[in-house]
Parts: sequence; structure tokens; C-alpha cells
Amino acid sequence: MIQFEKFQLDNGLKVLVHQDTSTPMAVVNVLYNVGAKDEDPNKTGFAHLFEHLMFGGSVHIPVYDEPLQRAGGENNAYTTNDLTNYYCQIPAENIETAFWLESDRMLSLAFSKKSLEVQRKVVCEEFKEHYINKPYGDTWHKMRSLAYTQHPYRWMTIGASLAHVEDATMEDVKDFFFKFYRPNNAILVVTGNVQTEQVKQLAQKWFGPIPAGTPYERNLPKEPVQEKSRSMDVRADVPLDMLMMTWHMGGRFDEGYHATDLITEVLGGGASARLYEQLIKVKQIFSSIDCYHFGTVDPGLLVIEGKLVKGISMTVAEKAVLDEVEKIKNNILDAKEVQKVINKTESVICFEDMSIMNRAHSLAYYELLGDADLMNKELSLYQQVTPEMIQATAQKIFQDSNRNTLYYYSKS
Amino acid sequence: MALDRIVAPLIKDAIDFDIQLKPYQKFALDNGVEVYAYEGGAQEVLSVDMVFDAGNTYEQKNWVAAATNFLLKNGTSTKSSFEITDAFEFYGAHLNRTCTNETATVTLHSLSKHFHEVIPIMGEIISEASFPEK
Repeated sequence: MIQFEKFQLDNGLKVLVHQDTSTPMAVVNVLYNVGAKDEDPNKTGFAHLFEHLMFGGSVHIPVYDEPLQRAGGENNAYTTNDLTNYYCQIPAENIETAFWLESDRMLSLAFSKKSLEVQRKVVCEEFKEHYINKPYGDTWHKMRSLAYTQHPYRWMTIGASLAHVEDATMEDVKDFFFKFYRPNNAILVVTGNVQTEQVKQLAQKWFGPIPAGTPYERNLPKEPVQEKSRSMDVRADVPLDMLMMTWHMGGRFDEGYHATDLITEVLGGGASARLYEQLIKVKQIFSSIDCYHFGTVDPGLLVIEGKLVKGISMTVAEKAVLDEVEKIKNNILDAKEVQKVINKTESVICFEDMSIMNRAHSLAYYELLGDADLMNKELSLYQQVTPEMIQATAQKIFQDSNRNTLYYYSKS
Repeated sequence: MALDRIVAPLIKDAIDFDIQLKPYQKFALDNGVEVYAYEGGAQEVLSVDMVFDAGNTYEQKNWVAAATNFLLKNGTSTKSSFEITDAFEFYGAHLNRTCTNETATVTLHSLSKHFHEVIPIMGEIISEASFPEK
């Protein structure tokens, strides 16, 4: 049970405080309610480009990292299709440094030409390194555009095209910042050795004067129900054939969400999971295989992907995967297997919540979903999943008309 | 007075911190094994490390130390490799092995409430390892 207190500033900034006096440290986490899904389809990659620009100096502070490190702090950030999250960990006694730094870059970036040019190059190189030059690097680019026709999950956080980042102008950058990086579109979470009163006072002092922006109304196109299975052949200079299948699943608030999560555990979670045991160890069709899902706010994808053992045909591999999928649809799981995946999930949740850093991330994320206390209800939702719910969810998701398949062949 | 955003807030220098580790307990089992115990935080989880003087420097042939450490998990007198993996995974526990120059370590991570179920399997791996050929 993670205790927390919550208040809101007049400019709309939500603030959550979780006290843990067993550590001398504190974490200051700022989540902005903007992800790659909020981008203009003709200007993708901006949410992630921003993550870089946020370290390029703010209106009063030319360098972010140096004063933070001087105070004993460290920081990082990440961008997903749903959100952008910035965090720093710092000795609790120096926490005001983090408030000073974070509030200044929320007030305004420096918008220096040089910073934009530097970060544009960094992000373009990141794009080339991971998504163009790397073997199998274009897999998700292709799969997303195959599986989604309308919803903005059809592009990756790095962007749909290198040109979008290359062509970003300072005007675009400023517009994006003042649209999304406003206090009323953010959640501040402070965890660790802090007092709520002290956080209230610091939040008011540093974030209070930042003007609110126009509220952002999210209005994203819905992905229509897929009616026919889709597939794509790829031939590339990669060492092994790869097979990737995805099926549309429910979003974070779908009643089948927790059952879906457990399905991926049954199939793909660890060395005692079904796909590993059957297709790698027993039948020796795949050299690696994985099953997971997006875990996104809006409806995501359930994924099975694996690399084929050399000499095994794509047809054989595909049939072997679909046989396992049929098993989970046609046969109800025994209670012990369900208990195992629930136990594993409980363990993951408990170990994840050990650090004040992860607690800060989770509180911010669940507050974004609507209520930070959902964090404390998550485990009971898993415990309520029955073998019948797993079977019904599997039957709903694993339909051929709902499937997208990427046949990724090695040229050699 | 307007807020000064140019000048950084005062900081406490790293060398001025007085950070103390929490005290630990120490006791010995009947067979002489020394146990160090430390209560960490609020989460209901625990980690157990068994540290042996069995690293690379103790081996007569290359790789024996690492192989021994790594293969501990692959079978005991009563359980196959799969049964061991499944037994730990059923409780959401993890057993890891590491081998360094000096030491070979077996680490268990588990929810506290399943401690009594998983610790015997850890014990069995140490005392009954069968090192199967396959």
C-alpha cells in the first residue's frame, strides 16, 4: 500500500507527495500529458525530440545537468506513445535545486537555435542507428503501420519519418511547448524523505507563478475494428528469419486488460512459459520467442515474435505458434497455471515498488489514468482474473481477422 | 520580492552529509554458517545471498568455477531443471547465480510470504545438485 497526499495549484498543476523516511534521498518527477500519439501526423517525433530539447537549457538556467550534479542529483527522462516523463533523484536536503531546475524548464525553454540544431542531429542519428541501420530495426515501423490505419499508434515515438525531425522549425518547437508543457497538463510527484508541508511550500514558490495554458482537449481518431487478417513480407540483410504476429487488444480501461496481461505471461513470461517450453525446448522451431503487449492507454497490440531456427520454414513456424494460440482458446487453464502467473505479477509489482523512483513513476502514471490510488488496486484486479476470463479474452483477441503478420526473411 | 530564478538555491555539499547504514544482525547456524540480516524497507520482499569462496581463483581447470555455479540450477536428486524453474516461478521468485574472481554467489529474490516455500528449494540446489550430463 503506497500512501500519498495530493493537492493542486491554482494554475492546475497536480502535486502528489509520498513520504518514505527510510531513505536520505528524494525523487522529483514531472510527467507531461503528451506522447507521440498527440503529434500532428505530418510532424511526428516531436514528443521525443522534446525530451532532448528539455536538457538544452531553460530561460534562466543555461545548463541543466551541472547544477543538479553539484547538488548530488541525477536525472533522466523517457517518452512513450502516451506520455513524457522527467525525473531526478537528489539528496532530500538539496531538493530545492530540483524544484528550481524543473520549474524553470516548465516556465520556458531557452529555445536556442544551437540547442535545436544539436538535438536535431542527436535524434536523427538515434533514428538511423536504431531504426534504419540495425538489423530488424524497421520491424516496428512496419508492424505499426500495418496494424493501425487511423489511430496515432501507427507511428513510433522516434517518428514516422526522418524528414519530420529534419524539418522541425523553431516555430514548431515553440508551438508544441506552449501547447503541451503547461502546468495544467502536468503532474508533479515528489517521493522520499520529504514532508507534505515542505513540498506544498516549494511547489507554490517555484511552480505557482507559471501561467496555465489553454487546456488540451485530446480527440484522437479511433482505430476501426479490423475485419480481415493482414500481412507483409520483408526481405533484409539479417541473420535469421523472424516471424511477428500482433492482434488488437483492449486499452488500459478495458475489462479484459488484466486477463490479457496474464495471457502474455502464460505464453511468454520466462523459461517455464508455454512458447519457450514448447517451441524452443521441445520442438526446437524457434531460437528465441517472446509474447508481450503494449500496455498502452488506448487499445494496443498483443505481440508474439520469434527468430526461427535455421532450416525451419516460415509456414511450419507460423503453424506452431497458432497451435499454441488455439490451445489457450480451446482449453481452459488449470488453476495452478493461473495462480502461477498471478503470483509472478504480484512479485513484479512488489519488487517494482521498492525504489522511491519507481513509486514516483507509478503514482504519476496512475494519476494520469485518472487516480493515483489505482496503483494500490492493481493487484486485486489481477487476483480477480479467473481461468474462464482468460479463455474468453483469448477467444476474443486471437481471431484470424484480428491478426497482423510480418514475415521477415533473411536474404542470406 | 520577485522570485530569483537565476541564482541556484543553496546546497549542502556531498562531504557534509552524515549518512549511516542501518545496523545489521549477525548470528550463526548450528553448522557454523554465518548469517547477516538487514531489514530494508516497507515492501514485503526479501533477497537472500549465499556467498561461497568458490570463484575463478579456486579452480584447477578453466571455467570450472563458473560452470559449477551456473549448472547448480539444472537438476537435483529429486527435481529436473524444468521443475526447479517452475517451482521458483510459481511463487514469482527468482534465483540468480554469479561467479566472480573470488566468490560464487546464489541469490534468491522472493515475496516474504512465500519464503517458507522457496527457501527449501534453494537449500536443495546447494546440497543436492546432480549436475546432469544433458
